Amino acid sequence: MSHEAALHTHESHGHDDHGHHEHHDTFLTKYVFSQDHKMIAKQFLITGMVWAVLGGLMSVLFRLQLGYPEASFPWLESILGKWAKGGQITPEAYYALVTTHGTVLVFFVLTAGLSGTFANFLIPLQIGARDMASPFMNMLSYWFFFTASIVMLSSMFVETGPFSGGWTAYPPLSALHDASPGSKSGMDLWIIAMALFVVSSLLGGLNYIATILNMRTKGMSMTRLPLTIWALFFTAVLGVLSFPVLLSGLILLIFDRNFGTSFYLSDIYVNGVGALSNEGGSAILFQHLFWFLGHPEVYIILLPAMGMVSEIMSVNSRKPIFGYMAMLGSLFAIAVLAFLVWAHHMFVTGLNPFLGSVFVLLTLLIAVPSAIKVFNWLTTLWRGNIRFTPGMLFAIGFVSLFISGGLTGIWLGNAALDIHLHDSYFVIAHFHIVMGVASMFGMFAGVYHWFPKMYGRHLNNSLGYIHFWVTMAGAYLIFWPMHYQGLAGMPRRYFDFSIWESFKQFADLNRFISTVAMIVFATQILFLINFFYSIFKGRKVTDPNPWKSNTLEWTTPINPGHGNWPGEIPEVHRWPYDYGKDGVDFIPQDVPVGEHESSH
Amino acid sequence: MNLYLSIAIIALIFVVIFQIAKASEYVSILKGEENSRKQNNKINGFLMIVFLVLGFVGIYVCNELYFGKTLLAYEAASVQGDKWDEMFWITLAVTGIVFVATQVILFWFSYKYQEDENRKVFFFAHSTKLELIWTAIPAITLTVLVIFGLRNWFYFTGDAPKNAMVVEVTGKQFGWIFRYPGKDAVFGKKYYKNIDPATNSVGIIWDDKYAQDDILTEQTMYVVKGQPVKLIIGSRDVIHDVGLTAFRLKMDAVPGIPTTMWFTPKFTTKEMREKTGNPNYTYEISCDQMCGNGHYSMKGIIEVVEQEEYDLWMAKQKAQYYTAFPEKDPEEAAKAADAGGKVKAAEAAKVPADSTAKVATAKM
Amino acid sequence: MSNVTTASTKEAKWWNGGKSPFDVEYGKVMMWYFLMSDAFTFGAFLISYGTVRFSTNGWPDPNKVFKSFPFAPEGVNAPLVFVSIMTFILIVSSVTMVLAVHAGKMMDKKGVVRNMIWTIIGGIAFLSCQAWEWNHLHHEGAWWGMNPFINADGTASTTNFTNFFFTITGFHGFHVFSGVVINIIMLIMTLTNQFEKRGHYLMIEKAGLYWHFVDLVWVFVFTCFYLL
Repeated sequence: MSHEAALHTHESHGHDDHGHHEHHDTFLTKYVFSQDHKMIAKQFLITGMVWAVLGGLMSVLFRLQLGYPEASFPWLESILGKWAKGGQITPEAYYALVTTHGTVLVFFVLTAGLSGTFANFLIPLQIGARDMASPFMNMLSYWFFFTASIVMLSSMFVETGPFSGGWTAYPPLSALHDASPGSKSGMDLWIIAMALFVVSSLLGGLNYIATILNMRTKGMSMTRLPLTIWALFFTAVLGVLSFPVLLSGLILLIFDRNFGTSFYLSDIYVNGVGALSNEGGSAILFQHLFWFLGHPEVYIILLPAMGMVSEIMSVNSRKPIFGYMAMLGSLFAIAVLAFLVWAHHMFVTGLNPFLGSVFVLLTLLIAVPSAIKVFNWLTTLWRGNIRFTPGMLFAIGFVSLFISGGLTGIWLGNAALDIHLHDSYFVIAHFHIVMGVASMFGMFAGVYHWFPKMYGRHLNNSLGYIHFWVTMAGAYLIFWPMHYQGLAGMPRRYFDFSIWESFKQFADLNRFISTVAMIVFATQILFLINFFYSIFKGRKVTDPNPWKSNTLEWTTPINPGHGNWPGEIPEVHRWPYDYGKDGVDFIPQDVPVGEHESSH
Repeated sequence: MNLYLSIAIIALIFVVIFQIAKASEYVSILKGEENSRKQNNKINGFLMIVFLVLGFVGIYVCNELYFGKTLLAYEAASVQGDKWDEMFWITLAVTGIVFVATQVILFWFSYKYQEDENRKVFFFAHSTKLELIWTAIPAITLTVLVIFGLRNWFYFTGDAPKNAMVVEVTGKQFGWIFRYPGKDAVFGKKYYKNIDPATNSVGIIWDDKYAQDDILTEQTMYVVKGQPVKLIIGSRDVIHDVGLTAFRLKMDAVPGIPTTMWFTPKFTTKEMREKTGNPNYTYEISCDQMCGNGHYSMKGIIEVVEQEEYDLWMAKQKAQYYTAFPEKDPEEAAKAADAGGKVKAAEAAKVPADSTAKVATAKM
Repeated sequence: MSNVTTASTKEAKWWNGGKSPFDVEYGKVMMWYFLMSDAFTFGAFLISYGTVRFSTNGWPDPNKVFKSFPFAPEGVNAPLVFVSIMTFILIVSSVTMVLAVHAGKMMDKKGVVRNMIWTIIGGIAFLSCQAWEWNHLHHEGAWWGMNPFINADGTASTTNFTNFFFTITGFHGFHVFSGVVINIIMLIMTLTNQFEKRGHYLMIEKAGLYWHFVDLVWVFVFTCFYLL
């Protein structure tokens, strides 16, 4: 008896809780220690945006060095002090900037800022739940992320600078205090920040999974979930299963750094220090642990963007997403394969060639589900009735970039080609297009699309169009020519190419890329202005369903408050993609199936 | 001052753009939101096609400007490189076709199916046939690429031919050390605790009988045109990577775990200078794995020469053992003998390396 | 026939929304996923241990390292006796945890309290044993970065034997410690009638899942360090 009864009492208890909250919100509980998933989503979004600006600024600074290696900018010294003596960025500063740019954008912006924002915002609203399964854990997740941010930020202000050995933090460079100034206390703070980040993503991920599995409203079967939710579900599973491996790797690393162990260290002689006593460790071990997270991480970044793009494309083409089950299947295939391909980042580490060949096969296998997704998106556009909202533009941009970057993945996944292209600018072009900019586009698409739901106001459309076209053109102008640099063998993470006979011919191109990068960065500032201005002064949303969309988040009032639906949670009767069915423009999910309606 | 000026200008531009955007919003309200939305839709639909066309023009221009500066502009400098180039062109053809087709479809559809009041959208939710087709085609194409790739991969990573000359490469912060095995063609054992930056930069165990004729050089490595070279790669401190761009190969240098790579150079450095038309051309070894602040300057040079030139060069090299222990050097000994200490020097030359045996107590 | 159809429709409805699939409470879903996640953490540690161990030439013999026993005279040779007792204690505490969960399902507060107390005592006993063992090894000169034990074949060993031993058993000990803290909180909540008021002891079940997981991990850790 007790079981069912127990659940019911528990749930009603939960509801009381929500009611309670609406009455006694203080500033602190409403805006700071909020347990409302919508507020937590906004916190993630804005923290992510702050990091995106910082990370973008870092890229502008190091692009300045690459584009104008000889020039001196006195104002740099006034900002960076000893890191830019005489107005020129020092190698230490350059490497610190490159490393922090990578870490911040991969983890703090495109993981926390993307899936943290949209998983929090969309899961309860789209599945028809009052909030997350555990709003308290959800809040904790944000505050762990916030603490991680503070620690990461503080690492930039230590005397010896932040970590500067690349975001992948390979030991021995990251394990030896004397190998590089950035490997001193900056690296300890880096590890602590990442450990806190792992805790945050774990708390968030568990919540997302439990909420999606358990809290769906009546009629919302798993195959009636919008693709956003499926994508966020797989993202959460990937995060929950892969981040702990990074945690293990980092624990071993911090022991190597500070407690005299030799997990990753063996046979090392450091200039100026002498031979170290460490023997028996394996430097490659860390790479296995790191990339066991690192590769799923790529999909943790990409899948939410794919989900949102699917949703936004369908809504704005006024057409069902083509091949819902195939989309689902390919998401699942990508999520599974994500765990089986990590060593393709390690083709040139002296990996056993046979093992390498297995990873080649598995890696190129990922191209199949990716291709299915692309073709399905294209078919979704076919014979649709496309509305170019800024969100839709970014969704189309995402597909274009995903194609361009995905195809170069076929090159790099093939070990025989990777053996030359590895760690060259070709790789930079590849992953920036497919993972960096594409996911960023997914995020922009999401922000433009759900901004009316978040803040009850519209973003300025014209600014949105300018933002899209400049960013889209800029993305290709920056990263397309980098393929050529990569084909010339230009290695990544070089502070200066002028001493290299093989690479110095690209000075003019570097200058061009740097200039475009600055323009694109400035355009993002324009977006920020649009964003913050529109929160307070934007055009008010009058229609609770401005995009004429089917999913549940548009069935609530414009500003739903904590608890999401003032009355009963709507019951779901159909899948979310009934657009243009039987000549009807759209049929929301909570509309019962009519008698004469055709079944799809 | 300049900074403030440029900030002010940028801020001004922002304000102008922002005001225009704001104004356009008011205009749209005046004109009727629906109308202006439709107008915007047309503009963006048109821009889709513009972007597609300009994109391809851009690709063409970029290719014109920069293809000549890549390695592909002239023949690969190694046998492996030829195979790499062949694979490059196959992969480029396959992905190129897919790239053009999908991008054209994407932007063309976006333009073609932009909102039109008279169009009735086609409710097309799935088609098993289509989905099977575009699962099968990529799968087959990729299988072909995998087969090509793995054949080359096993060739690249397979054993070097028996006649290969062997050079040991050791990376350190920030430079390269090369070791030749000397006349006996066998490397002496080494142990990292024996490293002495001045005389024994890789930690050779001197009392190993194979060690005493080993030759160490820094910065420049000599190899012979047409003869396969096998590199045994290691590192002294952090992970480095031996990047041989002209030969289209690279391999990590990992402390404690030796790796190998082999290649067959096709042209001497001189021939390459003629081919590229660059009188300063050299084969460069670039470090391709982040290794610290001097990463960008960790340059090595490979001189590919004809056999005769190599032999001449080799004859000039002195075994590192004699640099470490000048008193054991027969040449030095001869000089000393000339100076008068004949007996002593002869003795010194005869004494085996007992005195240094203590240095190497280690396991290998 | 009709029976079959009703059964299948019922089954399908678990996933149709409006209720938790199979009436599994969300906290339990979270706990299961957390345990999977934690299994990956331990898995990563143990696989790292395995790869380093098998790429090293020799390894100390556990029978010679873990041969001491508290209060026994110096030089006593009791290989693996002490750790067997530790393992036994932990397994028994798992049994008492099962009994506590069972009592919880029966809404038997007294049974829950009694068995939780036994479980907590078991956990504390295990931790004390571990503390003694660490302390003993430390006195023998073993610590992170220090390994006084030679390889089984008599050659000099690397420090990774002790490095991994202290890191992994320490990480496991930290889990046991957290488990004891959780169990104490559960005990206090039981004593203050919190679960009685809620009408269910689901929290005890979740704590139980965690506790069994920690036991299970110990079995692997035990196998890897003491038996192999």
